[in-house]
Amino acid sequence: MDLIDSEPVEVAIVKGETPKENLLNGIEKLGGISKYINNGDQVFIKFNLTLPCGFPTNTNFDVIETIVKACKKAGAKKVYLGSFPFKGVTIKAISDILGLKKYFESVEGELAFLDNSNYFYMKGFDSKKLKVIKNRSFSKVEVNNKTFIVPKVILDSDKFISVNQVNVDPLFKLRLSLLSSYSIIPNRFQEILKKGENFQSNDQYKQDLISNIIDVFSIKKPNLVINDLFYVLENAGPFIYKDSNLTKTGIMVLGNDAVAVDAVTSKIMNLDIKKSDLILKAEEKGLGLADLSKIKIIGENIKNIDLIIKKCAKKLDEIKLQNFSIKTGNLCSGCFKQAYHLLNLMKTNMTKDLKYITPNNSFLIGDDPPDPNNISKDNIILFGDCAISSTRKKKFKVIIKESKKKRKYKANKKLLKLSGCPPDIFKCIKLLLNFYGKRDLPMLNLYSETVASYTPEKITKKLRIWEVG
Amino acid sequence: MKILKYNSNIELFEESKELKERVRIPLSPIETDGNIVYYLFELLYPIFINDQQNILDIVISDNEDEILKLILYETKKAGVHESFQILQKDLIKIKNIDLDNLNDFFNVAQSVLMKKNNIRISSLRIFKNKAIEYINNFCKGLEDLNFYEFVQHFLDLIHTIFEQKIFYIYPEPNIYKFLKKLILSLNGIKLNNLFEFLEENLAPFNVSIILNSEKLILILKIQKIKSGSDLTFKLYTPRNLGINVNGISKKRLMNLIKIKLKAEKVYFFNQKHLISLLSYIFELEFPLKIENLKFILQKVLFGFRSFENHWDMVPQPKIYNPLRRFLIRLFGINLNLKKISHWAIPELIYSSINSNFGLNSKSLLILTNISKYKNGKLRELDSLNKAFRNALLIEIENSRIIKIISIKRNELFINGTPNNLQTIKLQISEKFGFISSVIKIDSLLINEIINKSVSTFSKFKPFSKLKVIKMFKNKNLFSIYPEIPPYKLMMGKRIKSLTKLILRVFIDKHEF
Ligand code: SF4
Repeated sequence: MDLIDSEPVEVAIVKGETPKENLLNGIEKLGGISKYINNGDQVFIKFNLTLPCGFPTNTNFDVIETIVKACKKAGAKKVYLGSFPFKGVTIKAISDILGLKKYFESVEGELAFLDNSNYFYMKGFDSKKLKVIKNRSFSKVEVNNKTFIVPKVILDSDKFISVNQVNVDPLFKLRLSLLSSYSIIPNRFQEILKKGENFQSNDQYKQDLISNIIDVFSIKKPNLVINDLFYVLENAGPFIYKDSNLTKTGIMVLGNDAVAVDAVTSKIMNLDIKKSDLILKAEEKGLGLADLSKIKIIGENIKNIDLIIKKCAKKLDEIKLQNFSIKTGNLCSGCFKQAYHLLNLMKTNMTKDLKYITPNNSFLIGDDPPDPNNISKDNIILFGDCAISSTRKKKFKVIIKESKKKRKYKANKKLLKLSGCPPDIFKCIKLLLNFYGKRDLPMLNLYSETVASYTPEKITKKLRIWEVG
Repeated sequence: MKILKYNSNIELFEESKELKERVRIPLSPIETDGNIVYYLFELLYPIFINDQQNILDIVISDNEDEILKLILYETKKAGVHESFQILQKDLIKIKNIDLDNLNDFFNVAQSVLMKKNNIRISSLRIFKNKAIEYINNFCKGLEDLNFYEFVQHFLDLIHTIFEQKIFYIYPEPNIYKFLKKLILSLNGIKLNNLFEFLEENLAPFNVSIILNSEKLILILKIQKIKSGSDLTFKLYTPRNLGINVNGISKKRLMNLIKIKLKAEKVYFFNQKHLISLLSYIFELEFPLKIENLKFILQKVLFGFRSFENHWDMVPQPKIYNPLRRFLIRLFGINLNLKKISHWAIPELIYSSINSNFGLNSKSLLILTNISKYKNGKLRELDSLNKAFRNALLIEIENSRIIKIISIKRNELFINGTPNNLQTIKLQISEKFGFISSVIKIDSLLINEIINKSVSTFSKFKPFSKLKVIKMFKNKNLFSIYPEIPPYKLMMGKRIKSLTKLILRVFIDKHEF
């Protein structure tokens, strides 16, 4: 039984000079850390650990340090910290690049290698051994006829705390704690598989995603939830892109009910809660309170805070790429999200390439996208299975060469198919490099080699084996 | 005094062009022709300080409650001080001068001077008595200082004046605002220490720099004879050197100066380009935005690639020779500096900083000097402890450098134990919050970078330039903890393939 079920729903809004001061002040307002942590508790702290990049891609480590120390002070026996990163990246790689393992140890916490990647570098670890380790460290959990595998360390912990860095998000406008809770399961289980006829037209991707997030969230509801919006990455996020901007609000929202904390955060960040499928669905399932009138809000007056945050691009063609025109057909959230990240990644890491690339490039996405601007001249990129299948009979797929005697039909070689439903970003980068040539994309090539330096094939292969096993 | 007298006679000079009086540049030991000083003030003062006439200098007591001296400088042209008069100190009656908001005081002074002297002033300079003492002390024996000592003392004076807030100017020119904020953000790190560090890392050189303009060409000769602190500086005009510039080509002028001043290299720049770069720098806002540093680097690299257009040099850098470039291209290395990608390089550095260090970060920079130990061959741990020189903690918030703190040796090496970068990171994180990375760089490497890009720039030794990359791979000379992805990439690649990978970004295509 979760602690909060019998507790009144309380949310604190705190404003201060530093994130650390905010957190301590907020916890104090909620009644002190010992209200949440008992002597001898094993605590698991879920934080954002997405990529080996600087703040605010991941949670603010000063905030993590403060919460770990507070838990220890309250008598916690053990404090684990963890989360599953971006697809294809191991926890070990991020830990090495950010120096996390030692850092958490120095503040008396322990980084949980949820993906067992600390074993990947050991010699003699074949697929059998990986499978054994995985089975030992995970449990199967059934929710709504779906099976998820969840790390035992999370399930076995007495207390669960979520520390979420709030940034803009292309699908849900903001990365709030409900969304962030999804990364307590491995990436492969986070993926949404195409089912049924109307998958794209019904935006089944988003519906399934929301349903999965809610199900995963219900497996282990956090006892304490912290939405850290002291700094917010706006305009382009939740990772650092060329168009990203960091804005300082000085605010933190925390409480004992994730749905309530997200609802309050949405309200002060000018988001209409009634339009937030995730929050509404969670409330509907009885997983928390979203009705602000029923939530006990302490600290700052909610009416006095009105944060204007620049949200992510709503349409893909708002992400302006030099020498590229983006042609959008009917697409679902899956392709939108992946294309949003790919286009932003290209804009950030291909500035020189985009300038010198041939001026005619069309990026076609979704079902039945408009034709490229110039069929005979354009390099055409088809993003996603819908774009590929719906353009099968389009004129631009073939080049007609007419001579005096006959007409010749040839497949258009200026065509790149990025398959997948939705496509995988790292794979797309490799295909782009092959298509244009590394010489013509020197910046993307450098980026790709840099990524490869922390995702060496040897290790990603082990990760793939581990994920399937 | 001499310069005031000179300035008042300048019309004479303008007619005859023969007045050759030697004067000292104010607040410096540099003696040069009066017309050079006149020209410099006439050119630079309106751009960097104030473009209007007449200035009132005020000396006030240290506790700001009394005016001790009033001096009125009349200037026919902005910056050209011709005469001065000492006014009665009680001329301006005001109870308190609000030094943080001089607008009201300026208006009072303006109206009094209009009424009593029928003079409209455009600027106020207020010195606390202490500032005058410092300036007088600085001026004592100034003539006997060598150039290095002068720069050291001068930077120290500037630092003291701004740090102790004993000099004010109204309206505040950009250079004043720049220095004030720079010194504040340096957090006690002295300008003269930075200069010393830079000078120490420069190998001996002997160069002349021609600063071209339509009005007056200036020629600087700067020389460092041997490593250490002997730096000399001289300022000339072509006339001083007996060169008639009428109808002379740029190349001929450079070659003549090379011979006359026995310089190894002669550089040619346009005054207006340097002034525009300086103006841009002085306009920088503080806390310093990384993005603005990106624009400065863009400007500098653009200048670099505009060889023979915006700048020139003799002997001509061999690296610009197409045949030689073609030959090394055969080895797969494209090194055309005229095609250096002046915007892609800063863009890459900027996005790399943002992505790897984050938009908020704290990084510790440790400077070492291992050159004194066994030809630089030291065990890695020892090198850090023994060779420690300086450490700076650089704090970035929202891509702005908000703080630079000097970290002392005993904060890094607790109990004298030989710490490595990992333990240092944890130690410093405990005190200052999460440190993103600790970067250690040795003087030998800095020396090599500066000298490869400045002193030995004209030599055609592409493979010696690759030595710098090799040095980056030597952990005694450079290391970073934790190892960020670009560093991992560098360490995991062979030098040639790494060079090829980077040069494709750094050098634009379509070159021959
Ligand atoms: S290909 Fe893209 S748009 Fe089509 S259904 Fe799949 S994710 Fe949606």
